[in-house]
Amino acid sequence: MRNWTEWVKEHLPLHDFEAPAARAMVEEVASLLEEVYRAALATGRSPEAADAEARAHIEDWDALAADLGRARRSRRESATHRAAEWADRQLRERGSPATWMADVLLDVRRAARSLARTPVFTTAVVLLLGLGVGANAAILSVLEAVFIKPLPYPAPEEVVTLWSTTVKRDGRGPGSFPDYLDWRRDNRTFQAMGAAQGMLASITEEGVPVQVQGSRATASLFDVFEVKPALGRTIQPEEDASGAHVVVLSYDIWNRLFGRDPEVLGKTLRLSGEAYAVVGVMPKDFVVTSPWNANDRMLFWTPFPTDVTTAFRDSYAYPIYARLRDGVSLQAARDDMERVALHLADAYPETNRTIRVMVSPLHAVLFAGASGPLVMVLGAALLVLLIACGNVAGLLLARGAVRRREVALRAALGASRARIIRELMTESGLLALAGGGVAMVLVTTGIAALRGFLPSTLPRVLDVAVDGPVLGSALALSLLTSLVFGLAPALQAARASHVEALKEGNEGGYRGWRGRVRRGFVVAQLGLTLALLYGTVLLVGSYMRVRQRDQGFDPNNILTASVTLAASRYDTDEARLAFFQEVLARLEALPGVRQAAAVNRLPFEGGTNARITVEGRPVPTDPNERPLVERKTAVGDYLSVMGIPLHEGRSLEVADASGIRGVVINQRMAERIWPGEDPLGKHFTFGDAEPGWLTVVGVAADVSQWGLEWGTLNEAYRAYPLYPQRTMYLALKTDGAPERLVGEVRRTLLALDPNLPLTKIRTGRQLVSDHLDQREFATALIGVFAVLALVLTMVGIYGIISYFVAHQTHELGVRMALGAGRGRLLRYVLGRGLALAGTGVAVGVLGAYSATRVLRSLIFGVSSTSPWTFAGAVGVILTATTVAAWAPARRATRVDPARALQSE
Amino acid sequence: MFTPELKKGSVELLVLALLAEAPRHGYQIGKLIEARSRGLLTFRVSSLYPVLARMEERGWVRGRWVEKGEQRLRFYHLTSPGKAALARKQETWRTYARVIDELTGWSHA
Repeated sequence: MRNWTEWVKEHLPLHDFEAPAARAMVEEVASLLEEVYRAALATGRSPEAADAEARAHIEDWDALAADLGRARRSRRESATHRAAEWADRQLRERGSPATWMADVLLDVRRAARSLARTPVFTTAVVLLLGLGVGANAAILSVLEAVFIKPLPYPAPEEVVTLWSTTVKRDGRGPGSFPDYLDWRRDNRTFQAMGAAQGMLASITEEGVPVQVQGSRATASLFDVFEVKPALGRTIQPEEDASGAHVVVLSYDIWNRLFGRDPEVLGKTLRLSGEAYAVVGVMPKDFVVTSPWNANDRMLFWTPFPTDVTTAFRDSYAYPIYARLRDGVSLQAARDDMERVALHLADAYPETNRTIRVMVSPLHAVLFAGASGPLVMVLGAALLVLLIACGNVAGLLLARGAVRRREVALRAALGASRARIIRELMTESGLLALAGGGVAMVLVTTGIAALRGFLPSTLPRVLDVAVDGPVLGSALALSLLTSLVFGLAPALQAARASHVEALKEGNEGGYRGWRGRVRRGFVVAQLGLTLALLYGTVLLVGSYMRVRQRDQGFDPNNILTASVTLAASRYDTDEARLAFFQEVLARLEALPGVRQAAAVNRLPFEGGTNARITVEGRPVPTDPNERPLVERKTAVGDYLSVMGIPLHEGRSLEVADASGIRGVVINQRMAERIWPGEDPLGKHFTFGDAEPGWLTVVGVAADVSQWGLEWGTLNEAYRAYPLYPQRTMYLALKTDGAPERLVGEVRRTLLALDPNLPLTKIRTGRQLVSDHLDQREFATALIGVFAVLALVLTMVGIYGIISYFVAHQTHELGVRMALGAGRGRLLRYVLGRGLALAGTGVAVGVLGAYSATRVLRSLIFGVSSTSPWTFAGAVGVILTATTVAAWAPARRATRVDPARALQSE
Repeated sequence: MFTPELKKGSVELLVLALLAEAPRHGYQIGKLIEARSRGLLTFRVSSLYPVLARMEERGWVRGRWVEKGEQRLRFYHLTSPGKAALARKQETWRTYARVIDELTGWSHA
């Protein structure tokens, strides 16, 4: 007897007889033929005749193969299918690592081909992932550089700052030198404690005077940071408060001024004209900044002068740094310093009765304050990622629905469930990698763009760069997103009964569990977008309110710059005053300069304040209950230059430096100190350090000294000799654009003093915008993310409504056949979209409420629960939904009822 | 005289009806159809087997290999979806036949 199985295999044009389904077919056809043969033999035919009879049962092998293919709902098996079957066999045989690798490669090739067959889907998912992940990675890298990166010292968490505060803990200031010495001697919780004091000096760099920021430092300050010098030594204990002219260089200044000369030790550095011997160079990554401004890096360190030992106990001017002993908690240190402070309060009741110590980690001091806006921006970026994920998940689900039949067919042909899941997950993985790639491109270009846009006031802003961990986390985030949202559709596709799937049509975009999940995603997206929009509206409103606030001066046609006079060259107050008067006279002589003046603090620059005693009023026993007044000093008519209106009396005159000692106060001070009285002619004094009454001669408008969001403070402007300062700001009122005068002003100053650097050159408008830049940054970025969220959500709505229309063609046709007009159909479909939007809004109310809580610190002058604001955000959502649903809805109205009814 | 479509529809009905009586293997089914149709439907492996495969794919019948002597035969039995399909087909067929009868004026006593 003929081997029927081999005979069938020879003739039946199937591609792979080893596939289980094909093998079953061959076996059964062979078995039937054999039965025919046997039956023929049984009726007495010859074996040849029986064989011929059996063979006659199959006239056309191609037709049989086609029938069988149809029976199995098979299509012509493609090369990729055969490849997968081959891989299946390898898997069954539990092959070597080589076959495993071959499997993986095969999977990747298959997945790539499958994705390439649906370019729109693939592009959409890759772009969505790239956008969502890229935005987050960019913001994360800013956060990483600015806030998360630890300080560049060993065990940085042990480094703290100590501040003077009051019993009520209402504010903090630097320490006084005598207090510092006692804190250092009496504490039991710190292994090292050091004092510093900022020191501006001018140096000459390539022939041009430049102002640099350095610091006086105690020897112990370097013990706090535990960083060894790269060259030479640091300041020695015997040099403390010696005024020794030795200097320790930062790497930066060593590079700039000495070209990293290894023989630099013993060479001379001239600081504001005085010679200092270089004794050491700190390593490259050693960075110490001002505790008030993390961008203000110290470029050199010198010992304190001798007079620091005679500093007043209530002269709070010295930032104090300390390092906790190993294993000592912050709380233990705080308790310890409370004990020390109470002891000092007993010992020096005059000055220390109400003074306590605040212990704060240096990292928190430098970065906590500015983190708020960035964290908000990151939050907005995360929402965008979630919304993008919603779209990706929706697309994967829809693809899963479309591919159910394909997957079921593969299952029917013998692919195992694990195998199918693996293939689908390989696709997700490829999508993730591509998305991650797009994200990386976005991050690298985005950071470059962001660097120009980042507020210069952001701490460590110069360190913002693309780094490995951020790129790695971008990739990981993309993989995670895509795998998580790819797994559910893969599991579902593999689990589905293939019989059901093969019978079923391409349903599953709107109805069924997929539809529910997709609609759930769209609702969630709408909710998140509403929250983001609402937050944006509040931020933009706050920004406009802040801009509208009267800053108290006219910022137009103003040029300002800072100068610090060297103590060695201008050793008396008279010399300094004479210098400023000369500078102002020369500046006013420049064409284009209308008027010039000098002041110790510009608006938004903060200030220094002191407590006053008012004539004829009892002096409160607690010095902290005396009124606080900001101390301003001016040369020339500063009020007139800055356009600060004078409400009563007159401006300062040169004669006010003596005699009646005239002073101009601000409106707020007049109202607070002398309510209902005429303040002109009243007397007050700043106390013992500056004896003698001051006489109020004028009342000026309030100026925002600390910031537009802050209330104004009491202010008193005095003539320069009454409160002389080495660092002053020049302010010019110009005729045209103030920027054009910068060169002339610089030349004018150099002509007077070739060693005098001009720094912080800004126009009046820049003063305002610098102050607002962090708010602008956060508002603009969150606004961009809100728009992005809105667009992504609209894409999601468009997708789901398109599916609805595509799969409801029959129902729409019936409705139309029953007489529903096009307008009615349009409303019906749009209604579907708006129903989703309604649910989204309901969800979003909660989100919007939480948004107001997160944004609280940036909300200014607008109600965070205003129904109008909310209605506006909801209006945007509903409009966006209508726009997104419009195209599919229009498509629905163009359904041809006759064809729609056939289509079922 | 029978179109392929009609044949296909009727073959399915016949197979279902045969399997409703007892599980049978493919050759038996083919031979029984040939006999009961009085030769109007001839048995060919190439036409029968795809029908069986299709019906199994739909879940109407289920096949099982049985060793019989030195031979392996595939026996099919009716599943409950298959029973339901049979009932539907019989109903359709009866209705069809009745309508044709009425239209062509043949009457039954």
